[in-house]
Amino acid sequence: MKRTVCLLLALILTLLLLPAGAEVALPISKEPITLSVWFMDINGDCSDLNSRAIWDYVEEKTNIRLDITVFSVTQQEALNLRMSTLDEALPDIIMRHGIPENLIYDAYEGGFIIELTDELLKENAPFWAAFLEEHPESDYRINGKRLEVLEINYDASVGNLRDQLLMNKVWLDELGLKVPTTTTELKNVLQAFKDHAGEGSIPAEAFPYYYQWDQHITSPFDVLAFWGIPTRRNHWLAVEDGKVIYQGVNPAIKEPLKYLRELYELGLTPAESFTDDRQTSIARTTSETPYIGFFGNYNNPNPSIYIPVAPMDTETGVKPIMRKQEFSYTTSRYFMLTSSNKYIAESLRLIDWLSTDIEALTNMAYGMRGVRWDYDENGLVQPYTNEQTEAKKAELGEEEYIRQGAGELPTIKADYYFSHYHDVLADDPNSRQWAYQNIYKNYVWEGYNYVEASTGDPDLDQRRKDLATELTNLRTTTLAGWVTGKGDIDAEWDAYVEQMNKLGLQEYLELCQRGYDTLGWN
Amino acid sequence: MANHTKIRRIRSDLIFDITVNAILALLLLIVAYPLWFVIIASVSDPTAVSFGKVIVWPVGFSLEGYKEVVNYPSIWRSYLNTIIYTLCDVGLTTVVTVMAGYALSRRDFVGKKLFVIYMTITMFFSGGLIPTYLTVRSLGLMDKWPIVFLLGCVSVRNIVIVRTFIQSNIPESLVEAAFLDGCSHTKFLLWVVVPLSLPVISVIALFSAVGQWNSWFNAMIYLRDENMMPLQIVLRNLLVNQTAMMRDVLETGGNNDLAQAQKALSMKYALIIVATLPIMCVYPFLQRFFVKGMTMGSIKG
Amino acid sequence: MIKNSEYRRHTAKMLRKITRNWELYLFMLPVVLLLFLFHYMPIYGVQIAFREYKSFRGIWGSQWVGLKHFQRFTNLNMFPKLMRNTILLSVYQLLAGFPLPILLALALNACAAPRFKRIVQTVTYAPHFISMVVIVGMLNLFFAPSTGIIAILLRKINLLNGNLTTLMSASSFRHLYVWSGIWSGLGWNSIVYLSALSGVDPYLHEAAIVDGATKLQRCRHIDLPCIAPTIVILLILRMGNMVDIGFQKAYLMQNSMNLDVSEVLSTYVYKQGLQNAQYSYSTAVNLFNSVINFFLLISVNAFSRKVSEMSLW
Repeated sequence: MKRTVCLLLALILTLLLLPAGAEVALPISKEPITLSVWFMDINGDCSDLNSRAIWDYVEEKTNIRLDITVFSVTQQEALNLRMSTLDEALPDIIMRHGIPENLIYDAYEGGFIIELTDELLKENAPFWAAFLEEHPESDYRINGKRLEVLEINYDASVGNLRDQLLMNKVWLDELGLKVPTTTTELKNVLQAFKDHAGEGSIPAEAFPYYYQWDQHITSPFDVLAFWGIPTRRNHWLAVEDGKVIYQGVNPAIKEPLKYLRELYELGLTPAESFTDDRQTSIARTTSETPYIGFFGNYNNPNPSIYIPVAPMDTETGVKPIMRKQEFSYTTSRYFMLTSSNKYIAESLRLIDWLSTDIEALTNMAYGMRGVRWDYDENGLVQPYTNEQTEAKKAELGEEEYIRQGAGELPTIKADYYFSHYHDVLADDPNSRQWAYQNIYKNYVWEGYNYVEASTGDPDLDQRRKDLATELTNLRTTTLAGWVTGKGDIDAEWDAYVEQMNKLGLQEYLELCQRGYDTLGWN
Repeated sequence: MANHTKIRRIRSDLIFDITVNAILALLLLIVAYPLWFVIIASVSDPTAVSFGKVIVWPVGFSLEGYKEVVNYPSIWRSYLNTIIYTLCDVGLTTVVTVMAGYALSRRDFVGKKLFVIYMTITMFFSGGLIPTYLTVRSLGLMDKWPIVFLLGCVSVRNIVIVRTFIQSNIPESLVEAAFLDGCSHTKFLLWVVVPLSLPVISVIALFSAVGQWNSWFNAMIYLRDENMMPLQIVLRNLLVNQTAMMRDVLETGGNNDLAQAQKALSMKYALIIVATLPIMCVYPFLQRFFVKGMTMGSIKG
Repeated sequence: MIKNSEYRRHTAKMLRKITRNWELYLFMLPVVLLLFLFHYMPIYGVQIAFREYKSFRGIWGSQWVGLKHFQRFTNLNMFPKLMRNTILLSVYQLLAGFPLPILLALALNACAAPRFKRIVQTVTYAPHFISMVVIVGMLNLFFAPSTGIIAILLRKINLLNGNLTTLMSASSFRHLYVWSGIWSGLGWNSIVYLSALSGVDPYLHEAAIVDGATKLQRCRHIDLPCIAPTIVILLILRMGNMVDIGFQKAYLMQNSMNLDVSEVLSTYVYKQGLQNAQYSYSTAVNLFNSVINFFLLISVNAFSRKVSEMSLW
C-alpha cells in the first residue's frame, strides 16, 4: 500500500515537473516500428537520403525507423499520377513531394490524408501547436485546412532579405572610384565601366548593370525598391495596411521605369536582360572572370570580385528599401500524414522531438554533430566554418561527408533554437549573414508581403488565375516596351491603366484580397 | 538534229548539276554549323559559350561535361536497357506495320475501309493519361518492361506509308501472276513483298528505332524498378540534378562552390552527344537500302 | 426477283473474297488487338473533359459539369487572338515546311556525286536529334542582341549598329520558330520521300534520256509523279495536326517582347495551371483540338478523293 502511494506520488510529481511543450519522452515508441515515407528530391542533392546517418541516430533515440523511397524530380508526373488515381496504397508519411495542391486536397477529401487539426497537434506535438497558434503566418494551409507542416526558419539573414546588391570591387578599384550611394552616382559609375570597357580587367563586352526582366532573382525590382516601392515576385502585388494593391498600375513606378529606360538607352544595361534564360544568366553571373559590374543575387558567387552594397538613395526624400522574403514557412521541408499510418501519435511526437531537442534539431537540419557542427565552449551550437568543412571533406571523402548530412524533416528554428545558437558565419565578411547584419538590416522592408491563399471557392481561384495570366501579359509587354525605349511613359500611362482595368484588374484585386483575408494576419 | 538536242541536253544537265550541288553545299554549311557548335560547346568553358566567344574552335577546353556524364553510375546499365528496348521495338513495329500495310493494300480485302476508320479514330481521340494508366494496371503490365514499347508500336502513319509504298511499287501483274500459281498471301508477303519493300521497311525501322531511343515518358510512368530505366531518364536526372543544384547554390544559400555550378552548363551539350551519337550512326547503315531503282530492276520481264 | 438473286450473288462473291483472303485478317489482328487494348479500352476516359474529375471519386463517380471546361478557355478575352496565333503559326509551318523536304529528296536523288550525297544526307538528318531545349538555347545564343555570333558578324560587315533586335521583336518570332523547325526537320522528313524515290523504275529514266529529256525534265515528269501518292497521303495526314502547336517550343521562345505573337493556345493553357494536374481541363482542351483536327482531316481527305482518287480510305 505504502509502495503504491509512493509510486503514485512520484508519478504525479514527474507529471507536474514536466511543463507542457518541453522535452519529448524518449524512446517515442516502445516497440521498434518502421514507417514508410515518400520523398521527392527536387534539388537533386538528396538521392542517398535513405542511407544517411541521421536515420540511424533517429532510430537509436526513438525506436522509429524511416524507410524512405526517393523520387527524382523527373518522376514528378509519375508521382502526380499516383496521387490522382489513388489506386495504390500511400506510404505512412509524405515528405517533400512537389504534388499540386489541388491533388493533395482531393486526396484529403477522399479521406486519404489526415488533417492535422489543432486538437491532434496539441495532444501529440504541443510545441508545434503552440508555435503555429502564435505565428499564423507560418501555418501552411490548403483551402483552409492544415494538411502539412512545413519547415520554419526565422533566421533573418536567410529568410528576411531577398537579394543582395553586388558591385564589382575590382573594377571600382581599377578606375579609382568609390562605392556609389545615390542613383546618380550609380549611373556615373556604370557609365565609367562602359567607357573603360576593353581596358584592364574590364572586358569589351562587359555588362555594367545586368538584370533579368520580370524575374524576382537578379531583378529590376531592386531598382523599384530604391524608390521605396515593395515588390515580391513577378505578380507585382503588395499589401499596404492590409489592402492588396497592384504595383503594376502604381503611378510611383514611373520614376524607376524612367531610370531603367535611361540606363538602357545609355547602353548601361544590355538587351540580353530581356532575352536571357535562367541558365545563361547563371553562367554570366558565376563566371570566374568578371563580366558584370552590378547585379542582384541571393548569394555572392565570387566574394573576391563582388562586394555587397547598400541600396541607392534616390534623393527624392523616400527611404530606399531592400526587398523582403516573408517570414513564414519555408517550402523545402514538408511533413504530411496519410490514412495508412497506424502510428499517428508516434509520428507527431517525432517531429515535436525534433524541434525541442537541440541536438536532434541540428542533426536533422544541418547534418551530424562532429561533421557539420559542434558545441562551442559556451555550449552553443556552432556550424563549422568553411575551413573546417574543407578539412572534414578531405578526411571523410565526398560520399561519406554527404551521408552525414541533413535529414529532410521540418523543424522550427525560431527564438528557442536561436537562443542556443552561435552564428559564426556572421563574422565572415564574405558571407550573406555578415552582409545582412552590417548593411541590409536597416533597409529591409518591414511590411507584410503578399502571399497567395485560396479564396475557399475553387472556381473563384481558377478565375483569379485566368485573370492573372491575361493581366501579366499586358503588363510585362507594356513595361518592357517602355524600358527599351518604345513610346512615352507619361503619355501612355493612362491608356495602359484603363486597358488593365478593362481586362478585369479590379475583379482580380478583389479575389486576391479575399484570399489574403482568409489568412487573418493583420 | 539529234546532236543539237543532245548538246542542249548536256548543257542543261550541267547547269542542273551545278545548281543542285551548289544548293546542297550551301545547305550543308547552314545545317552543319549549329551541329559543329554543339560539339565544340560541349568541350568549352560555359561562360565563354554564353558570351558568344565560342565560334569556330572550343574556348577553354575542358572535358568536365563528359567526365560527369560517363562517370554517372547507372549510365551503362541504362544504355543496355535502351538498346534492348529499341531492338524489340524495331522488331515488333516492323512486323506489325508491314503485315497491316500489306493487308490494306490488297484490292479485294473486304472490310478494308472499316479497318482504316478504326485506326484513324485512334489518331485523334484518346482517353488520356489516367484511363490509360488504369488500363495498363488492370492488364497487369505495370512495372513490366515490354510496356515501354508496346504502348507506341502501332503508328497509323507508318502503316499508311507502307500501304502507299506497296500500292505504288508492286504491280498488279505480279500479284495476279503469283496467285495464278497458287501462292498464298503469307508466301507472297514473305518472299516477294518484303524483299521489294526494303526501302520502306528500313524507313519504318529507322522511325521506330529513333522514337524508342528518345522516349522516356512511358518508362517514367510505368516502370518502378530502377534497373529497367532507359538512357533518356538517367540523362534527364543527371541534367536536372545538376541544374537544380546550381539553382540551389544561388537562390537559397547552399555551401556548394562555383565549380559545381559550372559543371551543369558544360554538361548540357555533352549530354546530347552521349545520348544521340549511337542512334545517329544507324542511318548511314540503312542508306544502302535507299538506292535508286532497287525494287524495280529485279522484276522486269 | 432479279434484285434478290443479284444480292445473293453479290453476297456469295463477297464471302468467297473473305475466305480466300483469310490470311489478311490474321495480318490485321496484331494491330487491331494492340489498338483495342491501349486505345479503345481507355477511351471511356474522354468523358473526363465533361466532368470535374476528383481522384477519390474516380472517373465514373466524378460530377458531370457539361461544357464548363470548354467555356473556361473559349470565354477568355484572349481566345480569338490565341487561336489566330496558333493557326497562323501552323499554316506558316505547313506552307514553308512541307514542300522543302520533298525538294531536298528530289535534289539528293538527282545528285551525281554519291559520296557528297551521302555526307549531305547524314548531316541534314542529324539536327532532328537535338532536343528542343538545346535548339532554343542555341537560338538565344546566336541571336543574342549584343553578344551573339550573328550580331558580331553583322557588325563586322557594317550591316548593324547597336543591338540585334531579332529576339526582341514580335514580328520575327514566327520566322524564327518556323525556320528553326525546318532546320531540325528538313533532313529527317526527306527520308520518307527518298525511300519512295528508290522505287522509281530506272528504265523510265533511260527511255526519257533516249527521248532527249534533260535531268530537270526527268525530275519533274518522272520522279515527282512517282512519289505523288506519298506526298498526297502525307499531306492529308499532316492536316490532322493543324491545330497542334506543341507548347514546349513556343513557351521556351517566349519573352516579354513577343508575347503578342508567341502566346498560343497551348502555352496559355499551360500558364493557367495546366501542368498542375488539372486533368479535366487539359482533356477538354485536347478534345477541342482533336475535334478540329479530325474534321480538317476528313474534309481534306474527301477533297483529295474527288480530285485525285488518292485518299486515306
